[in-house]
This record gives sequence, C-alpha cells and structure tokens, in this order.
Amino acid sequence: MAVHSGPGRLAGTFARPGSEAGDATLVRAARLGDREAFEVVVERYGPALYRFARRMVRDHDEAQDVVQEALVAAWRGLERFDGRSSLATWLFGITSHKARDSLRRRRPEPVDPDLLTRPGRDTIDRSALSNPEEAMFLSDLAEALGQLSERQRAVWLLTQVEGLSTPEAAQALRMSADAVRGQLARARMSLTTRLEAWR
Amino acid sequence: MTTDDDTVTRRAVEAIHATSETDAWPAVSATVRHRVRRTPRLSQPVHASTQTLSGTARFAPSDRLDLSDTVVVDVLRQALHDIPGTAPHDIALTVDAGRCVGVRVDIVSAFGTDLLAAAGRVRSVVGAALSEALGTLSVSVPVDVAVVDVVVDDPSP
Repeated sequence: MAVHSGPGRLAGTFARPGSEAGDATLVRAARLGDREAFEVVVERYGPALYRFARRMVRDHDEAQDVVQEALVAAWRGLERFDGRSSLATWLFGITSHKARDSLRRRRPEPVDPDLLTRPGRDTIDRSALSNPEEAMFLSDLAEALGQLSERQRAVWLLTQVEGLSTPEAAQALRMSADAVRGQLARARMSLTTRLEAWR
Repeated sequence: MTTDDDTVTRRAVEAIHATSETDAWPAVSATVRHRVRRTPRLSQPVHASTQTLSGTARFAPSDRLDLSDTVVVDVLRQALHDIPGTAPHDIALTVDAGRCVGVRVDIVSAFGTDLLAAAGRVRSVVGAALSEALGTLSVSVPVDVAVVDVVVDDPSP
C-alpha cells in the first residue's frame, strides 16, 4: 500500500488562530500550511481588495477573478512575504499587479467603443437606486476614475479610499514616494475637473 | 487644491465607501477559499514506517506509507501549538532519498521566556510528533531549534 497523503491532519483537533489573531500570527501559521489561518486573512482583507479591484477593472466578474488570482498567489507566495511591509500593503500590491495584468490581457479584444465599459462604470449601489442623485454621482465618479491612467487610479484608490500612506502605496505599486505624490496630484486634479458639475 | 476640490474628492471617497459593492464579497470569498483549498504547495514524499516505536504494526509489513512533507510540517506545527510564549516561525525537513534526516524549527518567543527551556520543550514536542507521524523512521532524526525573534506580544496563536 502506498499512501501519498495530501494536506490534512494525523493528530486530533487543535485550537487555530482565530479572527482576533494578529497579522504576524496568521502569516506564521499560514506559511506553515494552516489554511484556516489564511482564510482569516482572506476574510480580513478580501472585502477591501475586492473594492479596490472593482474600481481598477471593468466589471464584477473581472474583479472577482483578479482578487481570486491575487489571494491564491498570496497563498502560494507566503514564504516571500518578509514582513518589511504590512500584510495589507503586500496584498494590495499583488492585487494591483493582477489587475494590471487583467487589463492588459483584455485590451486587444475588439470591442464596440460605445459599449466599452470603463472600470467600475456599471457599479450602481442598490441603496443608491433610491437616491437618484447619488446614483448619478457614482456613475460620473466611475466615469472619471475610468479616465485616469492605471497608475493614477491605483494611487488615488489606495491612498484616498483604502487609507494607505504614501510610502505604503509606493511599496505596493513599486514606485518611489515622489512618483506616488505626483500621480496623486494629477489624479486629484483630473477628478475635480471631471466632477466639476458636482462642486 | 481648493476647499471645493477637497469637498468633491472627499464626497467621492465617501460614496465609494457607502456603496454596497462589498455585498458581492461572500460569493467571491467562497470561491477564493475553494481555490485555496485546491491549491497544493510544492511538496515531496517522506517515507514513514509502518511500525510505531512501541512495535505496533500500523499496516501490514509489506505496506509502504509515504507522507507529503507538507503534512509532516502540519503535524509538527499543530503539535507546537500549545507551548506558551512560543510559536513556530519556520519548520524545514531535510529529506534524503525520501527519508527525513533532519528537522529544523525556527521559533519566535515572547520577551521574558526562558529560551533554553522553550527550545528544549520544542525539541521534545517535535520528537514526539515525528515519531507519531513517521514511526520507527523518526529514530535518530536530529531536531535543531533556533530562536529567530523575540517579540513583545505573546506570539502563540
């Protein structure tokens, strides 16, 4: 009999790092193969990663793929996480990379320009449906974000929406802090111009 | 940038936070967890004995038992779970021709922990877990323990 076991347990049930565990504890456990610890990481950061991806790419399906690929890559690459950046910064960096890959993969597809969906453009929050003005603002915002370059959009989303500091955004996007500040200034200028009617 | 500019960008940030886009998250989360569970890490088989150290046969003598090294690491990680003030940082098996010939355990300890005692306990726990996993093939496998960091908070999960 040859038994080639996959991941599993030979011993009894043990306590696991729970949702209250710190990032370092979760990463240590996940790096050693604890999938449940990694699932806590997924639940902790996944919603923000999805929100970021959703505004970076064209639609929900693409954002879902991006986040899946990012988190699977993170699971596979945990040994490369050296702790020099925060876990959130590292995960946003992977997600940003996957989003850029996704946008480039899809770019050559022939599309009717009139039907081209800008990143996040089809996002209309259900609660906003009862608030037409807010729905219109969101639509215009999505359009304005879609007009930004990928870099500008990523910088604006990470620093303004997700709360990363300039150095953290620079680490995530592999840019200098000065470049982040420059991209952010251009993004803000572009957004305020395009959202002029809402001032 | 003027105050009006700040107002409109602030409204944009608030609008994004207020959307219920993350309502879609549970479905995404389920798929991600499913994919992670199906994503194996690189591993190699490690021979285990069909005889326990007490001489009990776990399988017929002609049977062969191989465990993935990730399974062995998982067993060791779980065994180390309950040592207060200490957590495994890395566990590496040295495998030669399918046999485990060494284990290195890097640990992180809390300030104030008796490091010598903790390392001894880790070595003892790892030895016991190895014998449970590998049976007689765990005999004379050296276990090296290294304290790689000392942290303020209790690192144990």
